[in-house]
Amino acid sequence: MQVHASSCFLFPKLHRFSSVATVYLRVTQRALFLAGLALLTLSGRLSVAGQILDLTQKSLEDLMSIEVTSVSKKEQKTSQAAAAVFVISREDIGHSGALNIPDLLRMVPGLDVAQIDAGKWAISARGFNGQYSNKLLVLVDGRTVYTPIFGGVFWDSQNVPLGSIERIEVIRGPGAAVWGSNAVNGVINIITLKAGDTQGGSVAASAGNGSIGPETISYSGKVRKLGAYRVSAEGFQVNALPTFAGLDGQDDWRLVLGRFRTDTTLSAKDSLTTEGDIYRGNAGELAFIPLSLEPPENATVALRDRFTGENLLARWNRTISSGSETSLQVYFERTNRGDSSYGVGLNTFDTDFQHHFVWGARQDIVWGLGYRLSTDDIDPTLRVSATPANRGTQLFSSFAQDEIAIRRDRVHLNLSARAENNDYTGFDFQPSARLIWTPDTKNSVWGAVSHADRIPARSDTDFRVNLEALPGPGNVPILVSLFGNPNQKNEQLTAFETGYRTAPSSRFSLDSTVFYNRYRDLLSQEPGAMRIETNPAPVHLLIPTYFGNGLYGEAQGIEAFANWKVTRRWTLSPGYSFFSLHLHKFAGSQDSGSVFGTEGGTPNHQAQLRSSLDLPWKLQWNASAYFVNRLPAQSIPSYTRLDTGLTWRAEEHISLSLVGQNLLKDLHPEFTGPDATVQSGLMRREAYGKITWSF
Amino acid sequence: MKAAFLFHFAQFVDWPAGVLNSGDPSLNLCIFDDEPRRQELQSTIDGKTIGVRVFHVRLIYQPQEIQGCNMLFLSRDEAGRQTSILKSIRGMPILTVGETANFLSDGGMIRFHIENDKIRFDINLVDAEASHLKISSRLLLLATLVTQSGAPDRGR
Repeated sequence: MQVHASSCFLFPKLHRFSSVATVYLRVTQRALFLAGLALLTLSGRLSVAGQILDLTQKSLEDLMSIEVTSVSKKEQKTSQAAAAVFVISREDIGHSGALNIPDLLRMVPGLDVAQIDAGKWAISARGFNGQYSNKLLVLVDGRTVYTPIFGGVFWDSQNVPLGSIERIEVIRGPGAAVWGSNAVNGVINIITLKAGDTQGGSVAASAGNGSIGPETISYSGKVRKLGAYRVSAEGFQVNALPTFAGLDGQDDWRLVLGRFRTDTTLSAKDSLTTEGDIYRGNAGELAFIPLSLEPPENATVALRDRFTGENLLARWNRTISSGSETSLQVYFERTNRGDSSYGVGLNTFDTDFQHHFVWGARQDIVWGLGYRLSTDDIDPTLRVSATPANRGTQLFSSFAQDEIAIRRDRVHLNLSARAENNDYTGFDFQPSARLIWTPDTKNSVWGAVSHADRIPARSDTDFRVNLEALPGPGNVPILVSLFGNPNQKNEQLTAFETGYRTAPSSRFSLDSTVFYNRYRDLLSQEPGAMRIETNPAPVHLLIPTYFGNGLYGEAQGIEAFANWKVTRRWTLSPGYSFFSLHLHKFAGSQDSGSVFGTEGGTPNHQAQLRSSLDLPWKLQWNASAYFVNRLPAQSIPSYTRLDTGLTWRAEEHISLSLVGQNLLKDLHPEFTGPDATVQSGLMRREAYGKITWSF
Repeated sequence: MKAAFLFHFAQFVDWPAGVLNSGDPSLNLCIFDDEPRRQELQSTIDGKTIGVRVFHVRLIYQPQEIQGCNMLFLSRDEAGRQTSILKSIRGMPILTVGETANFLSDGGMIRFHIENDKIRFDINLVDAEASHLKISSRLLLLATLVTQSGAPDRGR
């Protein structure tokens, strides 16, 4: 008898909303048993009304192969997902040697992670990478962390202590039908451990030539019969990197953050999770900006970005019956950031409801409603301003997903769609159809067709960025500026994907995906007519560029990775991805740089090999090599990055690690901003030591 | 699901002669009365038979009542008194199963943990042997970590 954890991984917010520790097991039997098995957690109470699957009849080996993730209501093995999924487990985090989330994400095959300077990264899947890459949805425990200001993520202020992460799920390709707009090229879902999953305290300290910290302290406890809590604090400083010119980049990055999470059982049917963060940080950069218009003056200056943020989230899960459950989530977030050249304040209120139920013997349905209100406050400066300077935007959304067992455990069809209404472009409909065929327990083939949209961000519609002030004829200054376009449309994607997974033995598995994407109405920069402008004073000549939707194109690629347990103690994980993008201009578009800059801003080939070896004397040795092909648009040569680390579990409560990163080259660049106004750093060879003590 | 594991553990452990007397076929798994998974444990494994033995889930209210138990499951919720409980029954033929990080170093015998979303367990053979319990090699093979006398041997 096979046991499949049921249904679709792409289950929306299931991972967002999560926390009822109920696992539904779908079994190949005449009847469909739904066994709500309460597991491992406080809320662990048996909530089965009908028949209970008798697990004592299964062998111990079978029991050990059942997944028990307590975070997802609707659990699914990644091998059963009709989507390109990669999961970074807790074990992977420990083996990676990474000190922050972006570095951790390097191990995801098909994800393009490139560091710009000490605190800035460009991260994207399937192309369109950049510091402000905007087609990726990133979530921390159900809280969206991309900023609606430009639709991307400020990675320097989004660091969750790695020790409190349970797993990171990365979906390459569109997930918009269930996850929402912006999930055009991928979804990164960071899930932290439940408060009850950790006990007692832990202290971790690290230091090396590249950084001091993160120093982390965390404590979890229980309040009898009520629930569990965890509080943690972390701080670090990453030292400045040198620039191309050999100068000190003055890009040192500091962050201090505090976090809490509680998981409470309210009743046999209800559980409540609350979470919150507070952080303060700053990061520097050398940027070329206009300093004044009279006289025209620009310079490369050292800027220091300061950022603060607070957020609070509550999620209430209710199990109505063994085949029906709901969650309601509410969060509020406030962030502020800026340097002398810009300032942005943002408040976000978001609420989501979802209902998951089983309908009949073959259908598994999730539907939900959401509302988000974002209000911002843009401080006008000579470099950046917005019209209006304050704006509140609303997003109404609804989605539904039906997973249909056409032939149970063999063929499953997943239909989903999202309807949204946003203040920029109005009504929007994003459907997706996915089919997975599992001929036997060792093989599965899936295919999907999806439509996804990227809604314009505030920067696309309302911003004005003054790029440069130049002396002009007759002492009339010239100002070169980039303007948002209030009529900006959605960027649209229709994606065709297919994948094959095989696990011929318990020691080897292979996962591969091929995709073909068609984009239309992609963001372009269209030159406008030169004109005289009086404000800002003095009278000057304006050379404007406006955002438009002048590009379309197609992308194709292959992503493959394997996991090979060579011996009981040694695991090798190779991965490879190929990507190619061709963009074209619609008739009438006069965009000059976007085609080459975007096409040549993502490597065609990436390859990796990770090795994890358990040695005697409680030693563990890990190494990973990453090859990234050149970026023609940025003159970045190809490079290979080698990281390695040795961990000694000195005793049950203490472990020591020594890690080297970027070992092959003294200095190498990974990415430059497309506009090159910010001087990017050169990655240096680094080593650090780390001690972890739990009590 | 851990209940099913507990049931299987009992199948792979031999209690010393005389502990399970032939007159009474019960094999007692004890849990504290405030155990949150009480219902799950009772409904899944209470009354199940292992050979000639009948599995009973017995509720105990005081640590002193542990005497009549053949197995003891200590959940995380007992973390506070775990050390003292385990100390008080050291050497007695009671198979102890727990789930906190320091369960084995406190003298417990089998510890659940989660690895890659799957239930795994470690076995402390030293204390099991000291209590005259014989753990089948098949169970030892499935364990992630088996603490032999001396250094723990990391297995898979």
